[in-house]
Amino acid sequence: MKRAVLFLITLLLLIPLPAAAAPADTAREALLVSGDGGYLDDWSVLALARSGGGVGFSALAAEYAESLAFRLYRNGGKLPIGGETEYARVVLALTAIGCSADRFAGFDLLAPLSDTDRLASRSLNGLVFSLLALDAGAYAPAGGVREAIVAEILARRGEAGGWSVFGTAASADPDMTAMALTALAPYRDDDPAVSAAVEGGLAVLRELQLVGGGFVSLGAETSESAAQVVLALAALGEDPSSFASGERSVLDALLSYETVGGFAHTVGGEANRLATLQASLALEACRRASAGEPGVFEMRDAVEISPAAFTESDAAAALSLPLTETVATESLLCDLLGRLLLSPDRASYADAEAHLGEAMAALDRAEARLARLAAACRALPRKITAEDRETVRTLRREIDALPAADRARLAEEEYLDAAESALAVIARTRTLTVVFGTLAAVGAAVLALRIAFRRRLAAAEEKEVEE
Amino acid sequence: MKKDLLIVFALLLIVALLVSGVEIKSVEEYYLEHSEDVGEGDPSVTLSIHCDLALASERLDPAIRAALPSDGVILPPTRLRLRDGDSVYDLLSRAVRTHRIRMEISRAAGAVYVKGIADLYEKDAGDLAGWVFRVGTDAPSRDASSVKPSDGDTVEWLYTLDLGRDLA
Repeated sequence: MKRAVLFLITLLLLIPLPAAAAPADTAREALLVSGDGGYLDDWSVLALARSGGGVGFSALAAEYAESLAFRLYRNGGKLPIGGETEYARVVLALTAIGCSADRFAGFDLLAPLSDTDRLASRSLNGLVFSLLALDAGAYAPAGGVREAIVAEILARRGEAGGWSVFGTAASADPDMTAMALTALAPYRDDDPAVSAAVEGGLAVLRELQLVGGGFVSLGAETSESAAQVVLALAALGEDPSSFASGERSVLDALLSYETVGGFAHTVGGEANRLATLQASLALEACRRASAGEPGVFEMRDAVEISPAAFTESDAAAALSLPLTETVATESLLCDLLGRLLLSPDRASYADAEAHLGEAMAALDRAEARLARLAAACRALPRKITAEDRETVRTLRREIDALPAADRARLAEEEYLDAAESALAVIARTRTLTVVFGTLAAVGAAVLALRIAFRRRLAAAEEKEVEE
Repeated sequence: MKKDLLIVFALLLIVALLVSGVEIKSVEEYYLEHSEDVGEGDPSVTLSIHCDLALASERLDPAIRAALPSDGVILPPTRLRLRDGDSVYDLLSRAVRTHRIRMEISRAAGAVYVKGIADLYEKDAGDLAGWVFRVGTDAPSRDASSVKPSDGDTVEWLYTLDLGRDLA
C-alpha cells in the first residue's frame, strides 16, 4: 500500500509542471517523498498537514498515526527517547492531522509537557515547544500550566533582550529568540510583560539581521534561522517581506536558499530536508497570514485523516497471529494493533487486543534475544584461538536456529563468520603441520638410510680392495 | 650425493615453514580480515571517538560510567581509508563496524542523528549533552551525512555536555 502510494507520488513528481513551481510547492513535494523507509516523520507530518497535505498525504499520515499508536502501546505509553521536545513534536504533528493528543490510543501525551514541578530544570527549547504544543489544539491543561511556562520563558530572557539555548548570560541567538517569540505570540495582547518582552525580542532580531536580510546562528548564516524569524513575524502579525535592515527582507533571504529539490542549509548548498521542512512551514505561515487563515501553530483548521477501520476480519487475523518468538510478525502486528488502538470500536475487540498483546510480548522477547546474540558476537575475541572453538560453536548453533527474519536482522553475524574463518585457518594450519611434519620425518629417515647404506657399501668396497 | 643435498634442502624448507608459523588462507579469508586496511599512499582520514567530558560530568549515571572505558577513549585515533563520496557519517559507521562498537542512530527528515555510541546516549549527562563531530578544528552544526572530509583530515566524534561549546 505504502509502496503504491509512494510510487504514485514519484510518478506525479516526474510529470513536468506546466509552469515553474512556487517555492512552497517545491518544498512540499520534496517532503512528501520521504527519505526514511517511506514513513513520514513528525516534522514532515506537521509541515505537510498545515500546508494542505498533497497527493497521497492522507494515507501516509494515517500510517504515521497507526505506527505511533503501536510504538506507544508497546512502550507503555512513553515515547522512546522521552524528552519533552519529542512529546511536543509528536503532539504538534498529531494535532495537525486532527488527532487528540490528550487521549491518543488511550494515552495523554500532554502530561509530560504540563509538569510544572521542575520548570527550572527544563530546557528553553523544551519549554518553547511545550507551549506551542499545549496551545495547538483545544487542549485544557491544568490551570496555571500555560502561565507558568510563559513566566519561565520570560525569566530565561537574556541580558541583551533575546534568548539563547546557552542561558541568560550568552548573547542572543536568532533561532532561539524567534522560536520564543512564536510561542509567546498568543499571549502578547493579554499580558504587558509578554508584550514588552516581544518588543525587546523583535528589537534584538533587528539588530542581529545582516544587510542581506539573513541571520547567523552558531557561526553560520543559515536558511533555518531565516525560516524561524519568518515564522515568528507571521505569528506576531508582522510582515516578513518588510522586515529588513538593508534592501533585502528576511523573506527574500529565505527564498535565496531555494534550490533543486527544496531548500539548502547554506546559500549555494544542496537541498537539505531539515532546511526544506522549516522553509515550508515558514512560507505556509506567510500564505496563511496574507489569506487571513489561522497560523501554522493554531490548528483550529486541522486536516482530518481517517485510519482504515478495524473490522471483523482484522479481528480474526489478529486472533490467528502465531505467538512464536520472532521479529517477522512486527509489521503485521504494527498494522493490526495500530488500527485497533485508533478504532472507535476498540472496546468491543478486547479478545483481539489481548491476543495482540501476547504477540507483542513474544516480539519483545525475540528482540531481546537478538540483542543478546548481537552482544555475544561483538564480544568474540578479535584474535581467535583454538580455545574459542566451543563458544563459536554454541553461538553458531543458536544463530542457525533463529527464524530467517530474525537472522536477517543480525548484522553482527559477520563477527561470528570472521571467527569461524579464523578457526578454519587454525585447523588447516594444524593439519598441514602434521602432513609436513610427517613428510620431514620420512625425508630424514630416507636420508639416514641412504647414508647408512652408502657407508656399508663403502666398507664392503674397502674390504674387497684389502682382499 | 646430489640427491642427499636435495633432501636436505627440502627438509630445511619444511622446517622453516613450520617454525615461521605461516597461516594458510584462501584469498577470501585474507580479504575478510584486511578489507579495511589502509596502505601508505591511500587517501585516508584519522578518526577517533572520545567521551572524556561525559566521564567528568557528575550527572552521568554510575551504571553507564562503569560500562565506559575509564580513559574516555572509545576509539583511539585510527587511520581509515577514505572512499569516494564518503561522509563523516559513512566513516563512523564503517569504523564502528570494523571495531565492533555498538551505535544507535535515528534518521529524521533525511538527516542522520547519532543517538548513542557504545553505552553512552544523548542526554545521559544533561539536556544539552550528546554526540557531535569535529573535522580538524571546525565543528559544523550540520548533519554528519552531508559533511564530506578530505584526504588527511582528522575527524573526532566527541560527547559534548553543552551543545558543542565545551569542546574548544
